[in-house]
Amino acid sequence: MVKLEELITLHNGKLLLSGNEAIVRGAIEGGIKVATAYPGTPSTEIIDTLFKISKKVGIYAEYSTNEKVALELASGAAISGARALCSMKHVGLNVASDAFITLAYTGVRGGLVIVTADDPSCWSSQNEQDNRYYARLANVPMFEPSNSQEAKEMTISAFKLSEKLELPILLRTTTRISHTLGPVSLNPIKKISSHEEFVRDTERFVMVPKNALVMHDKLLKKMKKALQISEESPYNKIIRKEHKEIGIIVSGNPFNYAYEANERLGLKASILKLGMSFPLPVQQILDFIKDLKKVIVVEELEPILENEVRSISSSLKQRPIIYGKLTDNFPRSREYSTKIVMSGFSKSLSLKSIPENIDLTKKTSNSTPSRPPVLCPGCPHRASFYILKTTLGKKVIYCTDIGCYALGIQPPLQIGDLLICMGASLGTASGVSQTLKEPAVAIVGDSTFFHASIPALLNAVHNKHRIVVLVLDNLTTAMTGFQPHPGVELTGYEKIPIENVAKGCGVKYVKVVDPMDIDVAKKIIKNAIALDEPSVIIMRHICSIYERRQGVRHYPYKISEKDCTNCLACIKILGCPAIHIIEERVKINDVLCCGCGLCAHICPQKAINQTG
Amino acid sequence: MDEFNILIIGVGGQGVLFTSEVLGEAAIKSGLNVRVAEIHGMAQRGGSVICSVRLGKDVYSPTIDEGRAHLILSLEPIEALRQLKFANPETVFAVNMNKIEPPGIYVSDKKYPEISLIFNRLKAVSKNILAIDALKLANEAGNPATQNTVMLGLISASKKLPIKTQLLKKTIISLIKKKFQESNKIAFILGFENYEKSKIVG
Repeated sequence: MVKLEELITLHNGKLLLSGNEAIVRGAIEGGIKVATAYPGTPSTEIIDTLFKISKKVGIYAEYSTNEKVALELASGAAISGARALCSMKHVGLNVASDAFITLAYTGVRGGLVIVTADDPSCWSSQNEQDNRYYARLANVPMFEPSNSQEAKEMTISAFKLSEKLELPILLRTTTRISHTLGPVSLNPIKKISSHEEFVRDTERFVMVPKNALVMHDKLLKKMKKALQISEESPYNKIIRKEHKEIGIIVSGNPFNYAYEANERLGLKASILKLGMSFPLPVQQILDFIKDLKKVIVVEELEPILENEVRSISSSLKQRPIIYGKLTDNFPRSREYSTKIVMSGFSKSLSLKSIPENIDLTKKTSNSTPSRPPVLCPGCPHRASFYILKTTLGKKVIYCTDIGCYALGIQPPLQIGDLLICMGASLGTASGVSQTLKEPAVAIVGDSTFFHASIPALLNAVHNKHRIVVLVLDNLTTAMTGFQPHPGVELTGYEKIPIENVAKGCGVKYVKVVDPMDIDVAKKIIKNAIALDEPSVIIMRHICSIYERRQGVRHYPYKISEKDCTNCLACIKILGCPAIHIIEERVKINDVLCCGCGLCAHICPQKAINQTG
Repeated sequence: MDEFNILIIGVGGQGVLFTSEVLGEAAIKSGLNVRVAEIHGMAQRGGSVICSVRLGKDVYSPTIDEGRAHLILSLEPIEALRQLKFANPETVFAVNMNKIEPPGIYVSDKKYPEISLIFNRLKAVSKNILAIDALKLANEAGNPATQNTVMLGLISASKKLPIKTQLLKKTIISLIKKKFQESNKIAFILGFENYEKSKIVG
């Protein structure tokens, strides 16, 4: 929403920014030189924005093939002295973790900020893992902003801290930070000088066992220094209120709920807000809790803070009672709200009456029809799923993958039996096929193919697995908002066709077909499923929304009232959102219709024709 | 507490995010503190979309608690029903009567409820209901995609919003492409002018 021009040129004033945009602004104010990422909700707008402005602000930005590559690239840049930012969704850090954990040993020279955007409540993810554990696992400092303003400031601080400690810094957001817009005060964009040079230091940067052990000890020393910095960090602060016996400890977005819940319940409890949340400021926590009788820890997902506060409190002679998830007062899954935190406070403090009625819930009866996300009108995946359903049906197991096509599980198409993580369709299909001794189908998108499927494809070829790999190639990374990938045409970039990759991996049966050529595609799938070896079928057709955005329009289709018998085949077989029943008759909405023609193909009466 | 909570709901593709961001921008220009909470990604693909805009000095939480919306702007009738839990007897509902049937209902045993039934359920919660055929007015404005602007005009006329009408109109225009500005101006005025007519009595 924010005008890019304002984001990169204004030196003062206020802008309404999302957490992601605020991180971009922070990176610019902080002198960023290199930005890398693989897109993933809720982190995507960081790299989208940096990519768009890269030329204007003079930085290098790229969409890397996956998060591990993105982090390795950012590490190489930071070790060579540049300030680099690498952003990813929470599960992306799993992919990058191999690089990430050892990178803590070598450390960096230029500032390196790694943004991990967690997704409590799985708004757009396959799990709701808590990446605060990664700070502990790798032993690197972590910042957790509570709003856009802090997201900007902490990005700048993270660059500085990274250079001071020569360590990468984690900046953890959650969906409600990444995608909430709030006012952000701007500071001048100054030219920040940096010295880019790779200074050879084998003992530090070549992680053979002998060197790694030494660097591990050095990392522990650096983290002792980080602890001192955390004790004095302005991001770790107390909001003092009148109550002498009750205190609240909180970090990140839950601070917002805790603050409002404290006000609404009139608790007047002091709040220790932790913005630099790893390493925890042990002494500050001790000072805060030592005179309290009750301490409530508020955090979404895992009881990480709570466990650590419990452990810190063990050195006190008189320990306060600590309330949290381990005392069953707060939930351990899904995102919080002020109401949930008020309920947690009430349970912890055994409040008999709550000053305001917090349960105004008017239950919506389940007669309201649900509206789950569905494949868009004109989506070429709909044709691919229709083809699968009418050729292989329920006879095979469909291992699917991360992307729009996961929506194939919705009725009426209902294709998708197993989905775990990026790229898992191929490996899981191999496992299913080897076990059941029958062919299995792997469904994978174009961007996901490049992200994490190639080693699994090589494995299937080498071990002669009977899998049919269906690459649903819509020529863009559609789910996250149309980012490029190595298989697309882009001026100034090298295109690597998926069919060449498949052939290079040793696949013998490689076919490219337009899923709108239904009969041809059906024949190819029938041939592939009969093979004793892996095959790759690339179903290539541009994403209908992406095509529209590029200004290409096709004439919509129309149902002839004379020929239509209202058999509803189009509706019951395809489930296209552009086809409706209005006053008992089937109609095509000509604004939504993209003119793909799939409904015309399947209409038994041939009653659907293109207009224009 | 000093807060004004607006829930904006609809179907992916209707401009729920844009409408929320317009209100956020206009709030900043009015010197108000604001939080606009959006959801991107998977949830947007033709599914129910819910955004919240919170205005006021003491606003911290991005989201609105159940029962605490001052205004619910619904771009589609059953979406208002789905989020009824956010309302209280004082809540103002502004509802676009133009229905979008979820494609899933044609292959399930559920039916899209009668419009009159939907409004009866809303009326059972609050008497402050504004109902408008935003599609009809958007078409009059020359652009069916301006339904959300019609709705913004309507809520602006209700005088509940702590944002001035002229400022809101200006903000909308400043955020859209030139070729759509004229139709949006008309859409806003049509929404504004139909305020009295949109009131549901009884």
